[in-house]
Amino acid sequence: MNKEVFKIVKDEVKYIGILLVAALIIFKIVYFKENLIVIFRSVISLFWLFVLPGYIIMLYWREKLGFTERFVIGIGLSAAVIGIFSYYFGLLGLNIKYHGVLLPIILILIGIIINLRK
Amino acid sequence: MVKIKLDLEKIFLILFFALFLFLGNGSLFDNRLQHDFPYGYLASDTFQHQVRAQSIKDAGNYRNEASYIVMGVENSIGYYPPVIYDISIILSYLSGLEVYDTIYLLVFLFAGLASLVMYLIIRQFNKHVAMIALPISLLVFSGSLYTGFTWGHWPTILSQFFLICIFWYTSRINLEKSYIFLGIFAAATFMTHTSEALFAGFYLGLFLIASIIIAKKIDFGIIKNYIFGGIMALVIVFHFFVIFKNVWLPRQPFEFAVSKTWDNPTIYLVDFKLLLLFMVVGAIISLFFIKKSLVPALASLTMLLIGSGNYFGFREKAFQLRFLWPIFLSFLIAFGIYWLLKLIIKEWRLVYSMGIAIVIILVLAVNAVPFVPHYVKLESSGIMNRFHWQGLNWIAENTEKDSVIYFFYGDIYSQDALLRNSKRTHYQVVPEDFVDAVNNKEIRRFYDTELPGDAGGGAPYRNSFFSFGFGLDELPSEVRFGEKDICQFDYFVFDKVARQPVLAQYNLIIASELQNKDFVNVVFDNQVLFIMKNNNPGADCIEQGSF
Repeated sequence: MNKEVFKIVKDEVKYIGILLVAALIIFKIVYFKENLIVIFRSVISLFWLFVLPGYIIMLYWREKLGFTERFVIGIGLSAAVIGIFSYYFGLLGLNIKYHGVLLPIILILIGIIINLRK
Repeated sequence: MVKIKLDLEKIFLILFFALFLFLGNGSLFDNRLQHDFPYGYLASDTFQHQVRAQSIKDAGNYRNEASYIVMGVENSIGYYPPVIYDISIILSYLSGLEVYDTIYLLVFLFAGLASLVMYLIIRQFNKHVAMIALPISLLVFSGSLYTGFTWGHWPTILSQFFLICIFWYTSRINLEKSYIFLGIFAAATFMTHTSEALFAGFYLGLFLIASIIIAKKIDFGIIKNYIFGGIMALVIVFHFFVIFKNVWLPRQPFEFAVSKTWDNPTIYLVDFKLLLLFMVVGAIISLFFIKKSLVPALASLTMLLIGSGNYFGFREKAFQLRFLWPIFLSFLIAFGIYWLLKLIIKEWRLVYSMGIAIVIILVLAVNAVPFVPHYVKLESSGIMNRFHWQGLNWIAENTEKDSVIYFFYGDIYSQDALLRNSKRTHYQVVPEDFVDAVNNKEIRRFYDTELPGDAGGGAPYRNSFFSFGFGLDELPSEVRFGEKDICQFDYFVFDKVARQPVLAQYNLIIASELQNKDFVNVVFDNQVLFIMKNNNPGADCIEQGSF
C-alpha cells in the first residue's frame, strides 16, 4: 500500500511542479509591475500554506478522486484547518508568527500518517 | 485522444483562473502585489478588517480586541469570526507582504477557487455544462457586485467559498469518511462568517429531504454522516460558539424582516438581463434531470431562494449572499444554454463547450453586447494615500501607548475605521459642528465630538467562560458623543487639504491658535497633514474667539 502512495506522489509531483510554474507565470502576468522576488516568495508561500498540506491529506481519497479535484479541494481544506487552528494555537499562547511554519508541517505529517496507515 | 481532451480541460481551468485574477484583482491592485499603503480600499469596512488583522499580528494572537478598535475599552475579548484574519497574517509572515495586501489578495484568490469548486460540482453531472458555467463567474466583478470586494464584505465572500465546499461534500458524500469534509468546512464557514453556516444547514436539510424523495427511502447513511460531521464541527467551533452565543446573539439578535433594498450596491435577478432567460430554462430543465444533477441544481436553487430571502425575512444576509450569485447560479444559466443548443446540435464535442465558454468570456468582458451584464474594470487607489498613511503610522510608532488623538476635519475620515490605524484611542470632530463653527467664524475650545469604533459586539469581556459583560455598556454616553474640550487631548491631527478648501483653511486657523501656546508644537508634517502634540493636556490650549 505504501508503495502505491509513493508511486502516485511520484507521478503527481510533476503536476504540482507544473502548476507551481504556471502560478508563477500567472502571477507575473497579473502583477506585471511587481518584481520577481516578491512574486516568487508569494507563490511559494501560497503553495506551502495551502497547496502542499491539502494535497497530501487529500491523497487519502486518491482512489475515488482525480488529481484536479484533490488539488482544488485540498486548498480549501488547508485554508479551513490552518485558519481555525491558528486561532486556537494563538489562544493557547503560541505566537502567530510561528504558525506559517508549524501548521503546514503538522498537516503534512498528519497527511503522511493517515495515508501510510490506510 | 482522451489524454488530449483532459489536458485541454486543465489548461482551460488554469487560463480561466488567471483571467479571473487578472480582471478582478490585477487592475484594482495596479498590477502589483505589494503597496505602500492599503490599496484599493473603498470603504470603512475594508479598514475594519485590515486593522483587526494587523492588530492580531501585532499581538501574536486573537485573545483580545485591540483597545483602539473598541473605543479605548481594555481587555475586550476577540469576538469576530477569526479565520480570514489568521490566514492572511500567516501569509503575510511567509510572503513578506503587508497584512493589508494579503487579506485583500486572499479574498480574490478564494473567490476564484470558489468558481473552480463549483466547476468540479457541475462537472460530476456534465462536463460541458461545467465548462460553459465557469466564465459566468466573472460577473462577480460586474458593477454592483464588485463592491463585495472593494467595500470589505470579505468574511462573507470567504465563508461562501467554504459553503460551496459543503455543496461539494454532498456531491461526494459516498466517499469514505466524507463527514470529515462536513466537519471541517462547516466549522470554517461558522468561524469565517456565521450566517453562511446557517445557510449550509438549510441546504443540508434540503439535500437530505431531496435524497429521500429521489431514493423513495430514508438513507440512514446520510443521517449518520451528518451526525458525525456535525459533532466534529461542534467540537471544533465550541470555543468560538460560546462567544457567538453570548456576544453576537444578544447584541445583534436576528429579527426576521422584509427589506426590498439594501444600503449597499447589490444585484437583482433582473440585472442578469438575457441570462435570466437561460436561468429560467436551466432551472426548469434541471428538475427533469434531478437524479443526476441533484447537487448543482439544489445548491443553485437554494442559493437563489436564500439570496432572495430579503423578501421573506433574511434582510442584509440575503443580499450578502448575492455577492457570489454569479457562481452559485452559473449552473442554471449554463444548463439552460447547453440544453437549448443541444436541441440543435445532437453530437456535442468538447470544443463546442470551450468555444461557447470563450464567447461568454468575450461577451461579459467586452462591454459591447447589449442585454447582458458585464464585467466592469475598476482602477482606484482607494481612500487611503501615502501621506495619510505616513501620518497614521507616525502616531502608531511614536506616540505614548496611552495617548489620545483628536482628528480635526479630513475628507477621508468619514470612513472612520481607517483612523484605527493610529493604534491609539482616537476621537474625531463631528463635521456638522465643524462646519457650523466655520459658518459662524468661531474658534472654539469645545466641539461636538465622536468616539468612533467598533460597537457591534459591545466590547465584550469574560466574567467566566460562559458569562460575559460589555465594556461599551459601561462607557458613559457622554464619553462617546457630545461636546469635548479639545485641550484634554494629547495629539491633534490637521489635514492641510480638503475638497472644500475652506475646511482645510479652518484647520490651519485652529492649528495656528494652538501654536500660540508654547506647550503645543508640531511633531509631524507632510504635504497633506500635520500632527501637533499637546504637552500639557487639560491646560488652556486655545483662545476662543472669532476670525
